[in-house]
Formats: sequence, structure tokens, C-alpha cells
Amino acid sequence: MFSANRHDTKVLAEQLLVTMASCGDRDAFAELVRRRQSWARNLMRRFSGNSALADDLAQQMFLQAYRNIGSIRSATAFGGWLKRIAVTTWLQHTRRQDPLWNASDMDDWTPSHTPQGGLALDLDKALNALPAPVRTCVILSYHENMPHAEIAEATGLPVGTVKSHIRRGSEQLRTALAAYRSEDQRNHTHA
Amino acid sequence: MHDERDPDLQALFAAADEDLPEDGFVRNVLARIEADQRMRVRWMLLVGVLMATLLWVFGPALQQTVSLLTDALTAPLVVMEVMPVVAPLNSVAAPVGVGFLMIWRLYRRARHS
Repeated sequence: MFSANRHDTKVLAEQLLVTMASCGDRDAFAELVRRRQSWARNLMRRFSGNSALADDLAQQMFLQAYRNIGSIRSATAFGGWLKRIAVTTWLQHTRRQDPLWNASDMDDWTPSHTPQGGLALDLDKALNALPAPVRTCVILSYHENMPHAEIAEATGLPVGTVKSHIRRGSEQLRTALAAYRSEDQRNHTHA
Repeated sequence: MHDERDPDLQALFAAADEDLPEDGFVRNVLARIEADQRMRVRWMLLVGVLMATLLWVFGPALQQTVSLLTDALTAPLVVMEVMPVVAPLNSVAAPVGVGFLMIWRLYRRARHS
């Protein structure tokens, strides 16, 4: 069977790489990991707020992808398929850590910080202050641009709950990251 | 369906994304895949050895049970001298099969409701 070496795979289209990986080509899969690792680790960082845990979860996600890539129906669907694995990996981790993850309680939440360590760090801190289900819905909406119905399907939450989580989570984030927003507005005004 | 998103927050999320260098990440993923495959091979070997041992120990008894079961299922419900064409229906296996199918349908209906 044809197998591309690492040099060859760098120039191949993703669909071809997916097809090759689904036939067991490990170099092709490694190239897919190389291309998607930044996205996966950024997503897991937003979810977990911890870069070491995020890298571990992203590795688990790619391991799951490798185990199941033979079952992918269309190479063009790879991105969405990988996103579903990412969400499942995160939800499994959250449920292992907190069996009551569905019980969201934001009443005792108060924004407690001002911008101090860069946007990524402050965004992660603000996200971490949200209950896990709210955080998950907000990240899937803002980071992944997923529609509410798709988020409901991925998380197993009712659409109404997803909407309310996103609305409440967005409000909290707006308050916590107000300094960045006003900074942004100042920049726009000067421009 | 149009889902409303705060454009400012969306811009903050986009700006927070960093282009993370690979730094051994791919190597770690591949090492995990190899470890996973080694573990799977070990499990398959273990299961194989276990199955072979069980067959060796219980093989004769299993063979005898299968033989008895076959005889019982092919026994006719009504003894008839003629009409061998209805023999598959006129056996213990027929009501057992119908009963199994009914239980299976009830189980599926209960699962999907």
C-alpha cells in the first residue's frame, strides 16, 4: 500500500491525509495532528484553563480520533468529526471530575480580577469562574461558532438551557473582561 | 436558526487564540498511540489464552451440551408420518424462535420509547 513519508505529507490536502490515515497510514495521521494541534490545545485551554491538562486532553482526543478514524464516512467531515470528539473528551473529563456537572449555580459567582496576565490568561480565568456547563456552552458558541441546537446535541442539554447558559455566561464574561472591551473601544475611537 | 453572539466577546475569543508551537506534542501523541496498541495486543493475547484454556477444559462438556440442544430443538411437536415439508415448523425450534423474536421486538420497543 502507498505510504507517504513525513516530507511528502506536508504538502498533501487534508482530505487525502484523512483517507490515508483511515487506511492505517500513521505518517498521514501525524501530519493531521500537526495541523490541528494548535486548534485542539487552544480549545482545551479554554475549557480547562490549565495548559498541562489541556495538552493531556488534546492528546486523549487525538488518541480517540486514531482509534476511530476508520469509521469516518467522508473525509470532508473530518473537522466536524474531530470537534465532536473534542467535546466528548472534555465532557467525559468533566463528568469524571464532577458527577453533578449539570447542576449549575452562578449565584455565588463574582468577577474578581482585573486584566493582569494577558488576554488569554484573563479569558481563561474568567471562564474558569463559570460553572462547567455554562463554560462549555459559552466556549462552544464563541470559540467554535456552534449554533445552539448543535451545542444542545453535543452536550445533551436542552436548547433552552443552552441559550440561558450562553446568555448568563456572556453577561459574566462581559463584566469580567470589561477592561479589554473598553481598551478595544478606545483603540477604535483613536483609529 | 440565527444564534446571537456578542461581537466584542467573539473578537476577544479570537484574539486569545495563540499559534502554539508543536514542541514534541505530535511525538507524545504518537507515543500514546503506540502504547495503546501494545496494550491492545496484550489484551488480545490474554483473551486468546483464556479462551483456549476454557475450551480445553470445558470443550467436551460444551460439545455434549450443543448436541443435546440440537436434538431437543429438532424434536417434532406433533408426530406425523407424512408431510415432511412442514418439519421445520413442526419442531421445538419454531416456537422457541418465535418467542425469541417477540422478546427481541418488545425489548427494542421498550428501548426506543
